[in-house]
Amino acid sequence: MRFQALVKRDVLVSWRKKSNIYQPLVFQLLIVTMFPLGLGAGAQTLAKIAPAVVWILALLSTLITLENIFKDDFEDGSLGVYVLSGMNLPLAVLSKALAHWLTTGIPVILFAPVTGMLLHLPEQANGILMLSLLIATPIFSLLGTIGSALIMNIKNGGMLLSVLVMPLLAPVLIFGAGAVLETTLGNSAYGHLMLLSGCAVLCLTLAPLAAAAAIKINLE
Amino acid sequence: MNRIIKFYHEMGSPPSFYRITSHWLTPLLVLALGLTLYGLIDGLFFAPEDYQQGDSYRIIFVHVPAAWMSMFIYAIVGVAGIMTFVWRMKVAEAVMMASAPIGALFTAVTLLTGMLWGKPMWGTYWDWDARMTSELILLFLYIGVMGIYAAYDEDPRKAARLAALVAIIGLVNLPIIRYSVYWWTSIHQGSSVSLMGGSNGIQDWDMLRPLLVMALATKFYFLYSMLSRAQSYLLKTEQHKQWVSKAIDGQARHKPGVSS
Amino acid sequence: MMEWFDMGKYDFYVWTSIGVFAVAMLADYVSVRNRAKHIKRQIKAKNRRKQS
Repeated sequence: MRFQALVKRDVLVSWRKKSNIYQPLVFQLLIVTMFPLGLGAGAQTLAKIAPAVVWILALLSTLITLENIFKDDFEDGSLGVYVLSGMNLPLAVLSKALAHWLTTGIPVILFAPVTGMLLHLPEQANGILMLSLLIATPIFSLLGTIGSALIMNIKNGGMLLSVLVMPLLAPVLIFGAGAVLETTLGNSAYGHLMLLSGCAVLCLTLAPLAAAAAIKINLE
Repeated sequence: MNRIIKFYHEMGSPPSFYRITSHWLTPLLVLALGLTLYGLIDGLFFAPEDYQQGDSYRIIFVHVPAAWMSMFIYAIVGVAGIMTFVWRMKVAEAVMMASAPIGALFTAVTLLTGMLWGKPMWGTYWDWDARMTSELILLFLYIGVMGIYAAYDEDPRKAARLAALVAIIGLVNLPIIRYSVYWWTSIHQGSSVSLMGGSNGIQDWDMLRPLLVMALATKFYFLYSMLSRAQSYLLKTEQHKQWVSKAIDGQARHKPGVSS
Repeated sequence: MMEWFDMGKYDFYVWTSIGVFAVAMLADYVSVRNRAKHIKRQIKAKNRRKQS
């Protein structure tokens, strides 16, 4: 039951900070405008790169929100209270990840067909696009907890966070964008999605432990 | 057996680590230098030409040893990271932080020499082939370990433990990266001319010998550089301890002309 | 003598590679030595201050 209360609190806090929700979407919209401007507006050119661009945009726009997952809780001391009160830290991390996913991940999933449309992504790929993001956005949030926990003590840690999570996200991008690409080429995305799910399960089990370890070290 | 255990325990304590490894530095450096000179001369001037790649294959004598080192050193960083994280061993911490920059350097050398080999063989400096891509990501892993350490420079112990955590995460991640990248290249491109295509065929002892010599030389050089860096690391982080002053003054007294 | 250094049409690539390797090792060696010297000097200075 404590977990539920925790999730409720985390979601509320995250929800109140509206920037978590609209920031990624504004970011995506801005960048997606730049592609036709730079590449030329030809529908065929855009459609070719659309699977990758839509996916990378979803990833990058989530990346900019990761820095703050733990920052506020660290600065106002509530993380310290968690640790002192003997709370199950990985569970607290999981709650944070869930809250981040609910407020950032879901809007990104729902927004993906819009960026896809703007880039002439074939419509039949929308289903797989959203499905792949549905599996992948929790991975972003979970890996984000690791990155955020590692840099929460550092001013301007955003760049370092990107360096730290990029190698972790590389396989996710390969499988995720690959799934959409295969669909636009008329192939089955089954293999990609299965591997993506494998990554998700791995992250679900290991990321909270890693993030909890980082928090503990940071608070020592 | 007892001696090995004793040695292990001695190496775990910073003062004895410092004392023991001090004797090793010069021999290691001499070995590294000698083997490098021999290996390079042998490889560049005496090894026969490759029947397919001509003389360009001679890049192998620096490229492949550097590539081996880049991965070998990450394994060391990872293992030392585990020891740092689990047992909070000071010496493991020093070894980890001493190895990372050397590993990053070898990774950069691997990438650069790979590019210089790729240009004549593939016609392009860079190709997103599986090896080069995962080597590049390996460089990011090294940068991450060093970056997190540098970011916490006011508290080296905390920095080292966080860096150890990053190293361990990287160690778990590395096989996934390698697998996914290989899978990715097998889908996106037909098999390009493999950089190592020639080396599968290296059966000529005259070609293999310089390669193995260079591999040994880089290992010795790594040991030299790593131990020396680890020593500096220990001196720096244990400045306030007595053994440090003793070790430094002891060295000073051996040198003539230095009054203490 | 010069034919020793002849690498067919690959002169530039081979010798630049060797150069990259050599420069990298040399730079590492110099930085290792400087680091050791620097930290030892620092500690000696501190000891002297303590004694006086």
